[in-house]
Amino acid sequence: MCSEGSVISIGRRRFIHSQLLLGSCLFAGPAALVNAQQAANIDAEGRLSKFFNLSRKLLSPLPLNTRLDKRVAVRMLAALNAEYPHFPQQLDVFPDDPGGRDRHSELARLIVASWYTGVVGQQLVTFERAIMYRLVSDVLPVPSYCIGRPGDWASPPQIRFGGG
Amino acid sequence: MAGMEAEFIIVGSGVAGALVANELASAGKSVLMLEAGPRVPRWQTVERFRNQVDKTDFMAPYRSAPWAPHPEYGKFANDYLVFKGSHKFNSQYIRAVGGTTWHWAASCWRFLPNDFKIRSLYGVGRDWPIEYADLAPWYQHAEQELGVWGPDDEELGSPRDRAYPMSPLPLSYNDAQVKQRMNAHNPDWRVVTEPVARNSRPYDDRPTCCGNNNCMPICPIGAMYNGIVHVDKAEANGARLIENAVVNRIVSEGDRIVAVEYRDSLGEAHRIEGKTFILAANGIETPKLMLMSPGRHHPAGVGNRSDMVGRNLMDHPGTGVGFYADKPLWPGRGPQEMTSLIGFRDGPFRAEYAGKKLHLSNMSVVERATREVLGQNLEHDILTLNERIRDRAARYVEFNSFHELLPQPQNRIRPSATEKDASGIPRPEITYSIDDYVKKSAVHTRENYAEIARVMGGSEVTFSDEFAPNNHITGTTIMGESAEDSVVDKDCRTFDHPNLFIAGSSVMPTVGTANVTLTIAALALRLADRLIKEA
Repeated sequence: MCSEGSVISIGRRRFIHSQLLLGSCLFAGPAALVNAQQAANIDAEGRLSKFFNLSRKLLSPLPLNTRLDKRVAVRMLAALNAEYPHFPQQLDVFPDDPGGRDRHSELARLIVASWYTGVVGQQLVTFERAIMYRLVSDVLPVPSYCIGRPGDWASPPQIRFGGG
Repeated sequence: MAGMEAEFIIVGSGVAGALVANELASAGKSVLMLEAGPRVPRWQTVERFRNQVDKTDFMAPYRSAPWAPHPEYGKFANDYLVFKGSHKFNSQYIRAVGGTTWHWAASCWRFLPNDFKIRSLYGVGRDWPIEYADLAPWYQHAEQELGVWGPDDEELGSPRDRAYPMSPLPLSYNDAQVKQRMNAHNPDWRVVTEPVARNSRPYDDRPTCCGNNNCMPICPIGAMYNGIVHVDKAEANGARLIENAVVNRIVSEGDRIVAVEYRDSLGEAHRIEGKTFILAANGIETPKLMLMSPGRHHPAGVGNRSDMVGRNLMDHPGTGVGFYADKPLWPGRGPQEMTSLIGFRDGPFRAEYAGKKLHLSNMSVVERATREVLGQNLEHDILTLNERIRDRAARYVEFNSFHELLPQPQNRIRPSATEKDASGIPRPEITYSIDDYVKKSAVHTRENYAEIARVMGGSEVTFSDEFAPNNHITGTTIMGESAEDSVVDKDCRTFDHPNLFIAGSSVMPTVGTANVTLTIAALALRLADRLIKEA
């Protein structure tokens, strides 16, 4: 798992980009072949940007704004593209600003579930940063990531987030 | 490694084998441990767990080596065990250096005095050829070796003359609330703090528990005891260990064992000679090995003139209940298990149905709650989604149980005549069935589960009535007074071979009414003491 300060290796960045490109070839006609790689890179960045901003909107008011969240988004988008062949096209045509019905569409549910569980299909995208653990982090540790002191668990939980 | 030898040869490096090895090595003896599986560093298991998709599969981080398979189910099912009889003995264990206590919740109970004589007292099962008083000093020694915390202010029914090595850390809020309400309603339930091999302070160069809530499948920091502790100590004290060494034959001359043969990970054969041999390969693999080693003087297998090797297989069949309490309790803070209901371990009823222990789960259920709420596919906004997940995660209560299955010769493990593993070694074939002694007790347990749910204001009460295994694999090289109906004597020496001993749960004549690891440890330390005195 990358820490906030570390750098993704070049090889890994290339792999991620190639994953983000899945499906984009459908939209690049023959005329674009000359600068296909550059165009593809812009497409990849654009798609990632859209995915991340859409995720922020769908998960609002939960904050999704750190560098680590962005790294998770990169992995998550790659996993979604790999798991669901139509995902890239569906993402492309999805409204940038989803209304009520859009928020309960299948695509929106899939994105929300992926962020909540940290899992896409049979791939673990994130465990420690899964929203389901973040939303109870005022009370519970992520299993195996202890943040407390011995015996902390005896006191009634100090609820800081809504619910429970 | 041709011709390697040592005075003491130990087959298996779990808690039993490792304790014996360490005691012998510390006394200056020459010791060689042979472990079928690989060395697996703690960090690797932690990383495997963190990266696995299905977090409810606690065995997924412990994939078995092809040459030393252990049973795997679900996504990685390997059909290693062959099941016969009305119930599947679908147990789990780990063939790796350190053995199965890599993955447990560290419950460390002493047997009750009456657990040793249920035949005399209740007319069922078998009596042990030793009494509680014989094992008591070894229980104390085992508690010290493992590092056990326990409640000096509560009577658990097993007399002790010294305090526990450590005082407990406080109960989780979840455990304390449930305990208080239950005991107030019915003091006969006796919900108590569970003795556990877990550090409440730095102990034995290992840190204090800080609440990773990940005991099963792996404690990330070693605050909980794992058998690897004594493997490491044994090696530091001069014992040698060869991993990836699958012992497949015990070799005898007359009634003495002279060698064991094993194959390594490449399938190369090796022979190890020694003076004294200790089998500590668990309740399935130890009898399997003995039965795979017939000889002229023992055509039915090593140590098997009684025809009891592999028989009397026992476990603690378990049932469960889950419900949502009337207020938030937040399981998932602190260790995964901290209390137990012990009011039904003993009593005259044991003439009719099984004694048992019930225990509250303190495991985090966040993922379960999340999948449930998301799966409802309702049109929640994010805040409502979170509220529902938090509510379900906070109020979920789960109890599970151990029922004492009696020793019955027809429950048995044998090497399969037809099914072999990847190395050509027979797979374990297990014939097993759960009888009315347990089933009747489970009915009584269910009534109490319903009552517990009422006391806790429970809703959505769901019973798990199908018996689950609890991996307390016992009885298959049974200890007894007589060579006619037992495999080992009260010193854990096989009746048939004066230099062959057995350590582990397979010697236990009954499975008792609580977890068996402390009893395994006590017997192992007592055996080591006998071996040192004799040598």
